[in-house]
Amino acid sequence: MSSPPVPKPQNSILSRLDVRCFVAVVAVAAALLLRFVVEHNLGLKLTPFVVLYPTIMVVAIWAGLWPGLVATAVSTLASPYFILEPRGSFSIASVGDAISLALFAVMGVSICWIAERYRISHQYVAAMERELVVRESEKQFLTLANAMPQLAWMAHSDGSLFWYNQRWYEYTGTTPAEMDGWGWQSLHDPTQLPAVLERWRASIQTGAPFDMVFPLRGKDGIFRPFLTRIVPMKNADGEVVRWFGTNTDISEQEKTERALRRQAELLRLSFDAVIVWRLDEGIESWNVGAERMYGFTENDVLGRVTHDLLQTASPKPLPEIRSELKNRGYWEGELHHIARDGRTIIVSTRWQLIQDENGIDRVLEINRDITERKLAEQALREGEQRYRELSQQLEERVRQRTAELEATLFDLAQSERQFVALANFVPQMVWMCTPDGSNIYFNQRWVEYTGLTLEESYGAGWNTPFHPDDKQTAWDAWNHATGTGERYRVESRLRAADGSYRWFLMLGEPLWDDKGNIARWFGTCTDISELKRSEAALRESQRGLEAVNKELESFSYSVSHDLRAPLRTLDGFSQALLATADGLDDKSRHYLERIRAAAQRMRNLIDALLQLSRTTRADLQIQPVDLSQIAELVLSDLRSSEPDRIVEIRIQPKLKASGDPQLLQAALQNLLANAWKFTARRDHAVIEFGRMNHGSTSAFFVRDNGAGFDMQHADRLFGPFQRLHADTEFQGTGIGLATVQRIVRRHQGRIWAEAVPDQGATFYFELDIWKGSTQDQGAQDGQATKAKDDPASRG
Amino acid sequence: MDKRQRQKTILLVEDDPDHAELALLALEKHGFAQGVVVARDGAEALDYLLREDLPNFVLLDLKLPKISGLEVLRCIREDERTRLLPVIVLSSSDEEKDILRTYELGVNSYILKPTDFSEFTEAARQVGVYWLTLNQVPRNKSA
Repeated sequence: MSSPPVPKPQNSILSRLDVRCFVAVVAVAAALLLRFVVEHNLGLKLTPFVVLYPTIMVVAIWAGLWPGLVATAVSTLASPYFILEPRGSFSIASVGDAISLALFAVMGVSICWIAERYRISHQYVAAMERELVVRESEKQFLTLANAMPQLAWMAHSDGSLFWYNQRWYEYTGTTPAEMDGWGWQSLHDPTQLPAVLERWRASIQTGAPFDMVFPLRGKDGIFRPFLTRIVPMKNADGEVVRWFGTNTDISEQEKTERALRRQAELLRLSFDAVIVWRLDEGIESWNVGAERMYGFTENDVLGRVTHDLLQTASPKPLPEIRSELKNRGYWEGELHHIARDGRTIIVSTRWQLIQDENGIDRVLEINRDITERKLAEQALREGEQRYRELSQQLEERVRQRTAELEATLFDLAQSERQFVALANFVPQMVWMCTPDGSNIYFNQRWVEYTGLTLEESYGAGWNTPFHPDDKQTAWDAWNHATGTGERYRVESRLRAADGSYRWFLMLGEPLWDDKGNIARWFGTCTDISELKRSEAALRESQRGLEAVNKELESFSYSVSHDLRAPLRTLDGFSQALLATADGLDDKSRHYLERIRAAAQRMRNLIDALLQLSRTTRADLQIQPVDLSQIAELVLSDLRSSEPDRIVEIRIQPKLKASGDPQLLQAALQNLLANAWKFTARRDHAVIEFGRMNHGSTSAFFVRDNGAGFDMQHADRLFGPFQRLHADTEFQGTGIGLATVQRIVRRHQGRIWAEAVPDQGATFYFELDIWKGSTQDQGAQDGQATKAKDDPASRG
Repeated sequence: MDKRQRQKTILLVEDDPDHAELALLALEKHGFAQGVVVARDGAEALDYLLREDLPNFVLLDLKLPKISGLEVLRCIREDERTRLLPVIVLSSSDEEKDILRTYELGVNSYILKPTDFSEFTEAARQVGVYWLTLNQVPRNKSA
């Protein structure tokens, strides 16, 4: 350690030598003045240098050597003038004065010299004392410096460190030699060193203190952060004399700070609302979680009372809660808060009472939003309730169902018994197959007839008793049915137990389930052997009939022509004979007329017969037939054949029937011609045609007021060639009515007559009334129905 | 030679001699009897048509022996020479199928033979008047 240089007083004006010398002069002058004053005013006689000696002494002691010498010089110079006789001049009177003066001067110088010595030694002692003090204080300083936990050091004004405290060496593990001056740089983090140096140098320049945090490497090699404070020590002149520095290990502090920051951050991030409020003054702290939860910012809420702000609804009254809080130091529970936007928030809250060192009560309130949980709980409760209800309903339904099922099962068993009973009762064979066509059931009839066992018949065994020629047909039909779901129908021969074959009609129908799939095939096999026989017989007889019919046709055909031919001859030549004007007498003429008449009758008969035969043969062309119209035509023809007769004709208009137009015309022709004929004798004949109700039915009728007939013989009325009148009364073939009857019968109708002799006759006949359909042109609406079946229709 | 200027001929095909005579009588009454040629059966009729000049028209009965009237009609219609020759069927048959068949074969007219002689003469008159004088036939048949 080098000794500290003596500080130079620089500032005071009195430090200037010239000033001090001037002061010395002034002091001498003052002393002289004093002497003068004392001598003149006080009348005292003073030795010549009495005042000057002290003055010089004082000046030398106080101002220094040279001012003292100056004072001496001035005094010496001034004395002759002011003190020695003659006063007022510089001449010296005597040698004695000169010696005195010289002695004075020497004395003065000596005094200065002594004073200087004194001063020096005083200064030296002072310096020594000061040094002691300094040493003492340094020792104190060192003790302190080495005692304190910080690292400390001192540097010269130029920034080079010259002293480090014990801690430094302990921490860094370095030696003073390494550290002296600028050696401390080796302990710095190289990346941060430039910044440090920059600031240090800046401070050195400016003499400003600085704080900085930078890492320093300990002897274990680990860098720790140190808070460094460097302050200058300045002298009286304001110059930096020394730099003092401390480095405080703040690693723990930093750790703590970090932890605190983390905590603060966590707190900030917490979703829970963390609120601190003073019991009497309101909210002090309001974290981000609280902001999020309630919508109030910290600024909004500071100072406000929580339960006012949030319109708290609590399970217990607030005073009670507060007292509990005070007693126990905390309170936990659930509260309802209203957020800024009006939403209700349910929170689980904990209030912690905190008393600080000043006795101020604060509450740390931490709220967790459990609204959703509460709602979920609510929903869950409701759900559970519903579930219970549903469960009950379900149980009820199950009970019902079970009861229904039991009833159904019972019915099912019942119906199955019925089925089996029925199946074994009917004369047909009854069978059941699965959807793929394999048999699963045959009734007793099958077994009885075929002689097969049920086992032999199941599956594809049903095909076994089929006639060889029919097997394939049956298979094909069956496959088609099972493939398409269409009805199974085939006629085949089945082998009986005795080996004979009979014809059976196999019918099968699918049974659909409600998914639209086939669940089962049901079917029967019906013995149609009799039917087949009948069919064959029928066909036989049909063929026979057809043959007969054909014969008849050709017969009628030839009849009509061959029979007529001779008639023509008869009539022709008779006429020719008659035409020969002369050579014939009246008798001959008469005979000829009778021949002609006979021929005529013959012709009528043949015509009628032909007509009759035609009615049987002809194909019926069923059409709507306007009977009224036909009646009109027929009657007008009849009229024109006998225009002189007075006949009243009443025809109901628009009477339509369904039938063959030609035949119906023939029928009406016959009936009306009859009516015309048999009313010939009436002066006022009335012929009617119409439709009317007859008892419970309605029928067409032709009525006349003619000769009528005896009802006794009515049964012969429609027989061919049967006549109820003599030919002399009324001519006729006797075939007409037979024809009409045949026509009506062919139309599935009925004909009958009522009459009173000499009053008239009514012939009724039933025909299908044509009510028409839209298909026929010009037809009426409706459908063909039997007149007799429709009691509502009126004539 | 112009048919219209020549004498009118009628071919009557009728197997019954009585009927033939009656027919002649009827036609005679109205002055048509001159040119009447009678064929007794179908073969004769066709033969005549082949050999001779064509008559003005043919009166054809359907009920003929050997070849039926319908057959004769068909032959007449098939022969190019006689295709357009007017044929009037004079038959006692009023069967629908006969009438239909003759029309299908191309008959010009179908008349029912009346049983009553006076009616027959009237019919003959009408036929004669119509078919001999009123009716026109094409002049050039081979056109």
